[in-house]
Amino acid sequence: MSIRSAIVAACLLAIPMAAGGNDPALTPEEMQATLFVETIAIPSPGEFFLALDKECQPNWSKFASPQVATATADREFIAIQLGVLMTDGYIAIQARNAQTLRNTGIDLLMLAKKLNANQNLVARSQSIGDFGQKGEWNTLREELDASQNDVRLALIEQMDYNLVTLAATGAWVRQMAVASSVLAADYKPAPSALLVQPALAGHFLARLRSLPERNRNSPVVQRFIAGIESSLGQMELASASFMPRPSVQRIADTMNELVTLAFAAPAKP
Amino acid sequence: MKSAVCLLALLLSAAPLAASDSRPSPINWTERPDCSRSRALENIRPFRSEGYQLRDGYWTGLLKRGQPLILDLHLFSGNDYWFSAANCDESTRLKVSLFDSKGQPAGSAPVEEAARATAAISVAKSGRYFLRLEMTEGDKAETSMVYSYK
Repeated sequence: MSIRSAIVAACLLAIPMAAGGNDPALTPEEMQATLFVETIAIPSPGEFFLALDKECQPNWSKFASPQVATATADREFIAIQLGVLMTDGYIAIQARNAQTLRNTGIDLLMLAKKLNANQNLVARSQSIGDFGQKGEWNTLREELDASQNDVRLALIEQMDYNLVTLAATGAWVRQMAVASSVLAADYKPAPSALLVQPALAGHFLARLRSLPERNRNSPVVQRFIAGIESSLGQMELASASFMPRPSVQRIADTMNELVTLAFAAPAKP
Repeated sequence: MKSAVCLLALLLSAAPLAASDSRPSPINWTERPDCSRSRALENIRPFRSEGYQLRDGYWTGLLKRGQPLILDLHLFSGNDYWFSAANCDESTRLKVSLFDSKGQPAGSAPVEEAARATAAISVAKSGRYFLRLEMTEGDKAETSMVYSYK
């Protein structure tokens, strides 16, 4: 059977779960030797929101008011804001709001330019605007995903690894803020399991803690470390199948506070 | 120069979760014309018409027989995923397998063919998963892994 026909057959059977065929379980040694590739191991906001949408059908329009980037010269703040706004782009897609997406794109371009990471974003922002006008929401998710990686690559090429970490953290914190707010407002046990992400929280904590001392000791990074530590504690209290309502509320409070903090940057001198 | 910088990033950051440096994980977006990545994408591209969306992230590297690669994943309940790996050496055979957070096999029975492999999963329980990519025939080849979701 060709691979194409095998795939089609599997699809027709609605992806039958054969529990991996006859594969043996991973050995403890293998479980210890896993590779955490950030662009694969950290789900895109699109994946997260798609799952949240299936479980809760949130009123996305309520969240589709992007944060307003503050005028600051602080590159750490700019990187975090960039991450948050990337996630806001996905929220605009969920809300099917082309105008908000366009506005978010303009802000993203401005922030990326401040970090000298806007080289590929100009062309992308044009295509994002076009796809938005046509209502091609699935393509837009892919385009936004690619934009996020363009920024990431530009920062890597400049060896701004610390900013890559901060932007990724900002994007994740904003996702958690939105999802936990949705779940806290209309709590249901099963969907609350979407918030149980201890490996991801642990990854972001490890990255933030390993920033150079100058970055790590900045008040905003310290607050992010404390907030993610606290949320990780709530995740570790939860079972794999649900998170108790008080924990959901606590994560919502913490993550929303971090997002607010990210946009209370010190003014440009 | 770009390649050198990216290669440096890759070498310095190819570390498990517990690594204590602040550099990002290894991704080299500009290293090659991406023969292996193109092939990996070919495997799952037909499903875009069924609503699957391609993730821009991917892994590319030298895969050797007897040295499987195990990648960390976080998958969400309610979502369906297709994972695809490929290289450009027809004398090799690849296998992609999925495992849950306890290391138990998960997802569909893997489909393996010359230089290509896929695996799929409809996730019932959100959480950490693992993907094992291995070469079952052949010696070594630059290989890519991509995925799509809906």
